[in-house]
Amino acid sequence: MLPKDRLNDLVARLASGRRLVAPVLRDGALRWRVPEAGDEVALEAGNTPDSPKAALFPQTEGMMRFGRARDRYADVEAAAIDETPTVLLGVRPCDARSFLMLDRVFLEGPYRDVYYAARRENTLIIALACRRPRASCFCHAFASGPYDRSAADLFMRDAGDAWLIEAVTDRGHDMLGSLGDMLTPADESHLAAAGEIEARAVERLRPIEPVAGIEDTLRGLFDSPMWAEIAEKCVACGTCTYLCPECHCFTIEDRLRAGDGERVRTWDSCMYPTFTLHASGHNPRPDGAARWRQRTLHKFAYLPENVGLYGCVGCGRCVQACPVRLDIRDVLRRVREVASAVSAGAAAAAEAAADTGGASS
Amino acid sequence: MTPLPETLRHTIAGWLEAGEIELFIGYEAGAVPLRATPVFIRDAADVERLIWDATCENNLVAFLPKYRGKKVGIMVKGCDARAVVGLLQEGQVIRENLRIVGVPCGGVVDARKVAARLGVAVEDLDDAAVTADGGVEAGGEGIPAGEALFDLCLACDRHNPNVYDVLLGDLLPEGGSAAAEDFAHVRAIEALDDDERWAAFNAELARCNLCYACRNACPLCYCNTCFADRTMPRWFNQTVGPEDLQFYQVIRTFHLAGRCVGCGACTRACPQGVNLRLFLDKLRLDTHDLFGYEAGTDAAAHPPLTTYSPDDPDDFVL
Repeated sequence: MLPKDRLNDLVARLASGRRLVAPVLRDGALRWRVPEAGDEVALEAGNTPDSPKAALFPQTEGMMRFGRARDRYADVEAAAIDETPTVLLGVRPCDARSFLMLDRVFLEGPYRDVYYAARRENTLIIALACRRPRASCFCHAFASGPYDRSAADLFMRDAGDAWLIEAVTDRGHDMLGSLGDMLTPADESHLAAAGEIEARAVERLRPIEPVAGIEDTLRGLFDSPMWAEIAEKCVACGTCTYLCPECHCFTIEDRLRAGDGERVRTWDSCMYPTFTLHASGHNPRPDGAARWRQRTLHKFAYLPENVGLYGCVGCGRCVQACPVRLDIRDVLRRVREVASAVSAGAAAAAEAAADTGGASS
Repeated sequence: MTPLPETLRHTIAGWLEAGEIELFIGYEAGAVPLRATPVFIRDAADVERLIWDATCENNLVAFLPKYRGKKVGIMVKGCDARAVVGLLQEGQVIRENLRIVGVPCGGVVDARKVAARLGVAVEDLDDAAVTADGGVEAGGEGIPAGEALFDLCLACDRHNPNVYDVLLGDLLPEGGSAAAEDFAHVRAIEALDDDERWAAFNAELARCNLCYACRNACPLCYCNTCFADRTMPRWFNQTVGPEDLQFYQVIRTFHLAGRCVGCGACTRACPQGVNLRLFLDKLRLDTHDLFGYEAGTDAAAHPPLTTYSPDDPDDFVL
């Protein structure tokens, strides 16, 4: 247990010898940052507009530099791998879970991503229970919830005037041990207060249909006209993908200057026409319908089939920030509606065929 | 949310049934409080879904270039109508193909502003409702229009559409031209010295994450292939390095010189809160000062950068 007024001491301790990344309120904007002098770590200012994924997978990162020698580029220098010990403080349970899926993509597939791997191995995640799930939140559609500890090293929860901190992993346990002198054992009244806050948080969750099984529902809808209907109001910006804690598609570009250059990896978005544009000029995903189908199927069919986890944790950022309020929950509802209409139609057709078959025999 | 009046729904349904239009673009209630969402009506029976109130913030004209050559109905506020005129001036839409419902608009609600004022998340304004005068009632508290509307709307004195077939409600009293705007926010930046201005520009840009929502929400950004999407040549990289952000925003802004109608769709769409309007209003002010011209006011006028007059200012020629 840590009294809330000692948060700055905790921040100072965690930041000593490590890079601490936390939600910081500066100039009215709440963002994941390394706090600088005068910054305040804001654990109670609500969920962050951006996800913390950039701490492990930056929007732009250098891979190598090259210099020009006579008529060719040479003097190639690989970018340093970032192994700075890092603490992510105040990560929401949904955002913490997003790293589990990113791990499978970046660490467990046939290609191990050295940049992500180095950061991930050196990062400790201190999750913060979500005290105020929002109207746009749907973590509970994924059998998770605002107090899900599953992806945390350490787990913090609100107990009124104090934070309760518990270890979840061995690494978390070691860290908790090193903070021992700052903490006191939680007493009954604080445990009770934390329990009440948790109950209120859970009460705020809106009823929602579980996502489990949607990959089966999506099967057979690849050619549905529903995708064009869903995409119609999309303006094809990349906001949803950039704010998503799970979206991890990137592109690699060479930044060329007169005498040198840099190869950089940057986030990319399946909502952009250039995402799948071939050198020939052909684009296999030529319109919004094809792009929305890809976005939906990638998150809710391909990833669960390929790595065993959905590409969505229900954080609701895409719902909040979409300039035209295209709501992914509505997309999933529509998918179910269309699928049940299709299967009802198929059943009716089979019945009709059976009737016809009976009459002719 | 306020459904459209019976007579207007009847008119729109009539257009659809008679084949005068194949599609009507309007607003319906959305899942996010205080923010309506665009809706595309093809079946006359669906006109019941249409609403109009101060939550209808999108400039629907941004969708029009997607339906080039088709007969489309659309709902426009004062500023949106100027975007229609801009597209007419540039030959991107044909007036005869459009059926326009014009709305004299007292301004639209800035949900983020309201939420910040109440100290809650935007999505938590579940019980919030707009009042007839553009204010908001939420959490038992009344917020007057002056604190609930977008800054742009509070500065607007041209509420009435300048192109329409039918009107929803009565015309509002208004000022009438860019000359009436004080551009105080632009003057404040102009008063800075070069270094301060550069710092202010970059501080604004530092929030940009290059998602292109500004471009895609803009009714006048209709290029089939935007320079930002060109790969041969690649004009800039897709990174969030300052030089790439500067390149994108400077070029996009200049592509709108003499064309931006000041509707603010870019600023409202930006998820990072970049004040794009500041850049574009500087160009609107220059266009006004140099050419006495304002985009989107006269469908027969030629935008100043597409025409030449011996009287054009040439102080910049060395």
